[in-house]
Amino acid sequence: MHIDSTAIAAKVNLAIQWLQNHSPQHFALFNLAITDFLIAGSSRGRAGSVSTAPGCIWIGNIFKYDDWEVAEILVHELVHTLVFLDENQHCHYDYSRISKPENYAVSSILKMPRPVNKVFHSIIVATELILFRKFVGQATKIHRVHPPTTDLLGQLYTSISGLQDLLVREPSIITTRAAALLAKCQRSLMSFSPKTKASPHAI
Amino acid sequence: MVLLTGETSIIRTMLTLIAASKLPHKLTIRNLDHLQIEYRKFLNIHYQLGCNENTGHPLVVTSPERIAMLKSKFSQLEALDDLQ
Repeated sequence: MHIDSTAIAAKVNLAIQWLQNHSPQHFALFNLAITDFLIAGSSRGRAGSVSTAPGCIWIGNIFKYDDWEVAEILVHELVHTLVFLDENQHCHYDYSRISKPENYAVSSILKMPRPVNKVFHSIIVATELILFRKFVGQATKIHRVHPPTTDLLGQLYTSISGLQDLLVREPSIITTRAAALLAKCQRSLMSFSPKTKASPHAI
Repeated sequence: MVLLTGETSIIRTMLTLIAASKLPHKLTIRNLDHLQIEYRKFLNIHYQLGCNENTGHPLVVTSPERIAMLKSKFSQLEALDDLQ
């Protein structure tokens, strides 16, 4: 799938300007942690990150989205890079067990059963996106890239609960460090909605 | 951000990462510019990314060699094996 790299690069720059204007903190961290954009067409997906290239974001055809939604894409991918860096330093998982189908949980973003590491990323991405929306005031807009905030909250609750259920059965499948990050996401979830039920297990 | 606060601060992680890396000199972080330079050195040492080690905002990759290298890395993503 061919894309106009120049037009996509211009679109990304507009989104970065939007980020700078609406959240200088996210902008500063983005500029620090992200080094490169790889612009390339794909028939599947809009953007992505890989653990073997933290700091680099693949950008596909995002031309049809408003600047604020491209900014959400950038924040989403920024979070992946930050989690990859944290994993590099602290180790997050028992790698021998995270990909076994019986240990899958439901992703907060894709709403489908996925390996533990993918679910863990999705929980932090969803948490950060909700925090970002609260900060920049995008919670009530029509969303085309990520789910609306109310849906995202429900999906986040499902993912955290699913991962907690798995931890009852497989308590050492994630490390103490990863459990601490998960607990932070859980606390954020509780703060987003006072009516959110307490999760069944302490992390 | 969850990742920016308290004991799980990403800046703390980045500093620890860089300090633990195999850089040839003792690290002292004086400012964010310095952190950015050391961070980029870290990425190049540990991930062989060939990124620009100067300070500055992220750039679109244009060199054919780096595009090919990064496409190879991104093709590991199941949804991205058809990057053009």
